[in-house]
Amino acid sequence: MIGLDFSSALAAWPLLLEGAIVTARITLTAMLVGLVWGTVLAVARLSPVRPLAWLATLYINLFRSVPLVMVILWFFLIVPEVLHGLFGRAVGDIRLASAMVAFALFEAAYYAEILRAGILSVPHGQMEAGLALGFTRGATLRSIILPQAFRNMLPLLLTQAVILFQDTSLVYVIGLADFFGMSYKIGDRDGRLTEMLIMAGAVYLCIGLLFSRLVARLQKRFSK
Amino acid sequence: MISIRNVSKHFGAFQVLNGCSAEIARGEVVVVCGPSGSGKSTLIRCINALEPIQAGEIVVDGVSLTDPATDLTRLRARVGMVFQHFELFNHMSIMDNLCLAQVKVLKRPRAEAEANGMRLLERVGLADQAAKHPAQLSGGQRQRAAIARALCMDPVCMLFDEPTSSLDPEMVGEVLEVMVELAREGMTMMCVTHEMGFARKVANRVIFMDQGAILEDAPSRTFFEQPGTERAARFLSRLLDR
Amino acid sequence: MPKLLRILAPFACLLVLLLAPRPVLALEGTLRKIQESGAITLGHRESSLPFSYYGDNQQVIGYSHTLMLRVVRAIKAQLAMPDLRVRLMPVNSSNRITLVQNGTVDLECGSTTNNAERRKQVAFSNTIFIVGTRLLTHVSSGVKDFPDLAGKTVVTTAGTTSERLLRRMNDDNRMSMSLISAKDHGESFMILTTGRAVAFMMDDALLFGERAKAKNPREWIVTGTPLSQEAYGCMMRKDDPAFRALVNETLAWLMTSGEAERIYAQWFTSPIPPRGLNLHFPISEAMKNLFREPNDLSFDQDEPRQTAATTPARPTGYHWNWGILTSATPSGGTYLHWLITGLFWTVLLSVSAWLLALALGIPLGIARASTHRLVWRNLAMAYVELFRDIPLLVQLFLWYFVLPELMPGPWGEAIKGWRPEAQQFLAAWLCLGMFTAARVAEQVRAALQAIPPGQKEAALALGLTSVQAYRWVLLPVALRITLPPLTSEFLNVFKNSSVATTIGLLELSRQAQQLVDYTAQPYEAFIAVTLLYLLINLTVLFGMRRLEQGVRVPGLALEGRE
Repeated sequence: MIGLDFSSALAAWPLLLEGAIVTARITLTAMLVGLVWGTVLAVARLSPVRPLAWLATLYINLFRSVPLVMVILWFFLIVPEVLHGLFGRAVGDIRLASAMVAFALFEAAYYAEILRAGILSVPHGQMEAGLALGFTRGATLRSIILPQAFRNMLPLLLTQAVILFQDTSLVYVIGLADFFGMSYKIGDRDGRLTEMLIMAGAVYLCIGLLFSRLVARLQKRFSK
Repeated sequence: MISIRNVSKHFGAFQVLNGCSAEIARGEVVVVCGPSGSGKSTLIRCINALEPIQAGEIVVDGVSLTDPATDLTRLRARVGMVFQHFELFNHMSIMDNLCLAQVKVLKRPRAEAEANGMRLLERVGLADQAAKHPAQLSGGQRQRAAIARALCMDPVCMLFDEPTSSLDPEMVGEVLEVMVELAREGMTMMCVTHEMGFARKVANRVIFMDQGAILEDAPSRTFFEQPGTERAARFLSRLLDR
Repeated sequence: MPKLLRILAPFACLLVLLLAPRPVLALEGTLRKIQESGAITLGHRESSLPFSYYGDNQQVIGYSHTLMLRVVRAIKAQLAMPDLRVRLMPVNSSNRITLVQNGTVDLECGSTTNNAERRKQVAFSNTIFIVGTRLLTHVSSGVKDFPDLAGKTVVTTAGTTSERLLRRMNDDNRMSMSLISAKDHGESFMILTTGRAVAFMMDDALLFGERAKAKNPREWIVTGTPLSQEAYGCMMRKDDPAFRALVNETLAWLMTSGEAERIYAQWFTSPIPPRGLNLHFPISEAMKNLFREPNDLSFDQDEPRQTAATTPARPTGYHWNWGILTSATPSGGTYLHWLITGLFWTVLLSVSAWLLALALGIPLGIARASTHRLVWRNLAMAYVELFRDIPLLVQLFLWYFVLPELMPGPWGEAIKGWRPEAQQFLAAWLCLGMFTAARVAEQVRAALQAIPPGQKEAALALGLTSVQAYRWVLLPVALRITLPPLTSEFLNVFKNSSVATTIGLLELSRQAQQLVDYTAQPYEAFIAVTLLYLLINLTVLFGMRRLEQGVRVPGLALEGRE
């Protein structure tokens, strides 16, 4: 048993904060973009237009079959090429950009499945009632079905957000320093890897616990 | 056969059974009735030690349930129980349902258990359904299979917990028929049921409960003709008006 | 089978659609690009001390970096752009060539060896440093030279020339060494100092640099006759004579003017950040010669030296070459063998971790659903929360790096003495198994709670014990309910196994990255590996479907279906 010394974690707090901001940026971008794009995919997958449903199914299944690590590596490869195609030059830190794109597109596939289940959980009669009231299909979906679906799915959406938050640590594979990557780097630099890894684990655990409590509370409220 | 002595039970502050006492002799058929929430199901579940009691004593066939030295598992094997929702094991065939406890608990050889199971299925009129799964049977058939399953264990007495309450009306008859048959053969039975016709025809005694207490314990004829309490009379008139 | 095909076909179509890389716009010279964009992107290393690394405050410093900044100064002068923006892009040995090739990085001066394979992908400047590949070891290790390494564990950094030399030496001389390939030099050194390897093979200058970072540098020595000499150069895109000439002229001027020697002294014989240590690495004859006569001579004799002027001009787009998969690797066999090895590790790891997850998860789930045994229930809940709320990657690193440190001395040392694959596998297996167990436990709990309580009562009423009731009644039903969600957990295990890439286990995604390092053909490697993952996915789905049909209860629709 070696003595543990957590002083470098304290001394390095500005760097850790920098890492935490990267984590937050990826998480939030992926959540927002993923939710919007995921909704589009879910609606497309349930759409009566066959080719549309087919394409959405394809997208969702493809992303859900490939490990996130591979997706991150893929986009690290593709995004610079695409940015070149669009702007003719490299733009900013492509690691952050490619990670955001990768997570957003990846999460969308998962959100789409949650939302699809949510839409299906709304009784069919609701759609019929909407149509009977003279709404169009799209309007019924927007103002009657989706609000209910979101409500039903809120706990699951939040759970997925927690998973997403944890998964952002995988940007390690492209050398991007998020909260975890930064902890690792500092630990490596100061020869205090053990302490930094334990510290990082504890921080993630606390945040995870906090969120799972929140989700549990929401679930309780909604099941009432 | 079954002695219930001053039994009380509560969930937190809520009193479910309040000083209940009753004696059931060998070969007797006793019907327990009362409005819903009166504690009749709880009482019968206590006899099989599915629910713990906080005060009093229950003795079944000379064995006290409240004695910590009593092996409850062995006791339950000797008391047959039939549930409102049948509780057949859906992932097993009817024959496997009948054999499971015979083989695992009574350590009977499989062949003997099957022969015994088949004999009982014939008795409840389900011999041709042995290989089917519960989900493939009608409600009445399932309940008859559940009775056969309980009988496989050669029980000293049988407890019925609203055996016909979740059946379609036209299936109630076939289950009651089996129960009447059983009573005629001299089985000690305690039934929670609202089937007053059955009570009138077969029961030696009727126990009427309300709010966790036994209000009446009378021979069935007396109970139906001159209920001792106003509460029981009201209960009966409402039931018969239906 | 046609059904499978029907599922597969769209995947393949989308893959092609998604992945067909857009051709990089034909750049008319890096200089023009810099002029138009008003910015230059420089590639640097993160821990190649003292060439290119982070000093204090995450500032990039180092010998190569200083030279690179001098080149940038010359570019500013040439283009008359004093306000030229300089972007810094950290690169590692796995991605540096790709990043230069695909136009992300314009110039990379770090510690990249100029060799024939790389010259096929990128262009090199004049040599900026000459190193010999040697060994760093503990003074008491008894290792004096390369032959002493037989039967020992040696670490080197992935994607470097040392890695190839070491593999070749191991195979050619049958030295039965265990080789660890670490992610970067910092990690290699840590593997050395934590006792997981007896020696660290790398370019001597880098070894002196890592040694300076040690808590007590005097405990570590650089030893061995150089196995090879290596010439470091700056990397840039191929077929850009104007840019290359400017870089070379600047470097040559720095060297002949004596400026380079001053920069050398600043980084190799004086105290340097972050801790003010002195590498004490005196200038070699080879370096003195280089400074007298700047050149781009590389030391690999495999192929004649390239001459910049006669290189045929090729378009800079991506060159597809599927033949790469069946071509030979430097260490014998073909790259296809690497993929098959990767598949083997992925499947072995996932299946064994799944068994562990079931063995732990089912009892945990039962404890979670128990209504009577409060202590067990709370313990199981604590387990689930702990393993569910820490990211998998963090857990993996805790198992791999921290566990041996926290274990009682001899145990930890014993683990570190294992073959590297065994250490990596153990950590990944425990990590994946225990992580997945938490998820299996939740599924089992949910299923048990979904079974009407009457079922357990009926079993008890028949005289079955509690254990028998679970064994014969509750679990068979619960496992049928959990089958669909467990299928997706099983698929998750395969996907999550890719996280083991970060500790160097040679599973599929690690092989993909290694293939990219060695062949610089990223698309072929990634597509091949992605298809293998899809194949695994479909196989598992197919198998689980069969299983579901096999255990389906007649007359009963499966509950809990998605």
